[in-house]
Amino acid sequence: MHHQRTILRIGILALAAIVSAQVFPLFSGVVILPAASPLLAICAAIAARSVSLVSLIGLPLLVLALVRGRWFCHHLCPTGCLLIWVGKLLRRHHFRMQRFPVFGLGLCLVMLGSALAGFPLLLNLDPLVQFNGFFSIWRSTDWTWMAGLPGLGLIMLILITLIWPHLWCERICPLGALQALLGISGRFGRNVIGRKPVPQPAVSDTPVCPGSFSAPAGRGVAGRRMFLVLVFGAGLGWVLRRVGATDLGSAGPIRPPGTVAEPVLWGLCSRCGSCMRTCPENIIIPDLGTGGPGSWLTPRLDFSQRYCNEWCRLCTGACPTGAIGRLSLEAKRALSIGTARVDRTRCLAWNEAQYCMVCHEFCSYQAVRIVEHNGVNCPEVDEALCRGCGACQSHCPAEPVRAIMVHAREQASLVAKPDKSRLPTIFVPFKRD
Amino acid sequence: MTGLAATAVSSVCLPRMAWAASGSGPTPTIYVVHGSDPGRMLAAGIARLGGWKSFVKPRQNVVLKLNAAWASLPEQGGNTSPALVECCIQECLRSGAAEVVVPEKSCSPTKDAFERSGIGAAVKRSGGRMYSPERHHFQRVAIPRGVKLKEADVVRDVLEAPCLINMPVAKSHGGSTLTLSMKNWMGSVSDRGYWHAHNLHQCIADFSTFIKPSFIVVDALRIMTTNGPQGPGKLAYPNQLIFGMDPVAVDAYAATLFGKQPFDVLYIKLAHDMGIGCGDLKQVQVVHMDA
Repeated sequence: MHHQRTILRIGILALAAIVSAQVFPLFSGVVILPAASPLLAICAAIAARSVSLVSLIGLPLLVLALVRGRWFCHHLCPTGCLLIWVGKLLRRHHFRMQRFPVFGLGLCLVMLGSALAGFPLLLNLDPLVQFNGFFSIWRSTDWTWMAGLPGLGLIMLILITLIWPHLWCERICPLGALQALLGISGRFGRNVIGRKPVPQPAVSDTPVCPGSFSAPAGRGVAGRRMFLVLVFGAGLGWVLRRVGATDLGSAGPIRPPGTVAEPVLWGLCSRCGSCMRTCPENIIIPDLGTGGPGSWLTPRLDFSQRYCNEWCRLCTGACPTGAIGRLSLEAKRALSIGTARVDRTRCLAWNEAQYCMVCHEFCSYQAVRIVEHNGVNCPEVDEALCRGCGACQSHCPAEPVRAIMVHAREQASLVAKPDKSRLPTIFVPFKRD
Repeated sequence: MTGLAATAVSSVCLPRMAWAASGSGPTPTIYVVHGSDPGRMLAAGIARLGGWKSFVKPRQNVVLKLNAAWASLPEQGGNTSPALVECCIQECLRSGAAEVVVPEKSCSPTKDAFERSGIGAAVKRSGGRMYSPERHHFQRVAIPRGVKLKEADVVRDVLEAPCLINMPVAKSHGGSTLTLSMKNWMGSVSDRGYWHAHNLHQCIADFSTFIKPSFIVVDALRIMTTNGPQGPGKLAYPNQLIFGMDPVAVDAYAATLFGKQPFDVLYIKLAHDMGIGCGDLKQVQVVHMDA
């Protein structure tokens, strides 16, 4: 029995690592693991007021939780499997788990509440997101320290587990708490909070089996508290969304094609790193606060070396929460994510009368017009055509600062009726604001 | 170290340069083949240049410098015609070449450029080997006669090729006015940005003092007359292939297809003045023929 479980866990770990490290790259393959989390799926669906194709990937685990409560945690969760082993490493089981309240339930309710406010918070705490973030960093072709940032979460979890074994799974993990919650509401729930207080030893001296919440109070009190936390989460989301709504205009970071508008992105992005890993040009990097305080670790485009290729839309299929929407290739090619501007004081053609025009050469959209000045061709950007792909910026030979740079703009399609080519959303009860 | 390598390489190139110069004689000759079937046109042109056997030596490599810079479709004229490429590689292999190597540093991301241009598939079908040069494929060489371009990192296969074919597509270009045979070498060097920043036309001419292909075939089956080099732009259909040994003469003729005087294109003028070849079409023997 014990061996069977070990083999199962090794299998789960290997499978999850293979999927998130994209050993067999598929379009959207990198999305599978984080999207399998019902917590992420529910929060994303609530926040977007719609159920997308991707959120259906979370459905099996949702059903599983309704039927079997936290069964997933110690049988299928790759992060859980890993942490159970890490917890065994030090054999330090003798700490007072009881001293720690069940943060996870509170976190889960804050996440759900803030999702109701359209600004889901703390999505990054999902264990599958953490796992995916760590394992998908090896996909990167040019490894930079920035590419490694989304991988830090799992390392933190391992460190926490080394100090307090099982603490994460037992008390903090919001996905675990959600499953326990669903398990109660499900008819065949196994983990019973409130119905019958489960006596727990003061000092747990055996490896604690995840899935045994004990609620100190009766059902009514617990229910009222849970509701209050939910409302608190909604209020927090509402406030943070308004507080964060600083309009940086063209000075803000440039986002991948299909990304939702700025303050919503801060909440909706789970920082799983899937988009960064899937980009073949490696131009999606974690933002380190250039877009405001809430923008930390959200995806931003860096055109210093390479640019967003006209014929690629991989990142639009990599987002588990819909922070980056799915786009057809036609819609992506029509979408403007930024606007290039020429700095004539730095431009080799305008300033030094060089026959340069690299920007014109690389522009796939005929957005760089030729203007003759001092007998040489000089570039001028046609803003009605510029998609902000960064081809011009990444190849501009002006040194040390490029003479043509892409500035942020509100993403918009440059052809009429782009929505036809968007992939369908299954169910939209409310219009998204 | 690099100096030594450069000397060695240029000594490899020198005999061919001398040969090419003597081959074209005092009045350079170019052959303009009109037609619709690239295979027959290629055969006709090569026959006039002396036949495949005079260029391709048995069990030696052929290096083909075509233009597959952009992720655009064959009919858009941004890249060399894949049908022409396929015929050329087949003929080289039939003439006993050990391998036909096609190094190309594309501008668009390599995979898209090779796929959408149809050239990746054409090279594969015909049995050649195409690759996008990485850092280790380049070798620094000195360009002794260069005015602006004194040294460059060039693909090693191009430097060491026993038979080097230059097969550009003729099209317009925002910076260099036209992309023709001399401009085509920018796809074999690593730092194109330097050329653009340091008098592009002079750098193009400088590089042609150094690189001497065995012969040149300019694809002018369809030419992109506006919005080049990437396009899509307006197209014209001269249905011609231009063969020759003298890059300046070939480019000078090709420029006329765009309604330009040869010396309207600055690098042709510079190359002519530097003695790389003859850009004055009055002194060039242009032989037209049909195939």
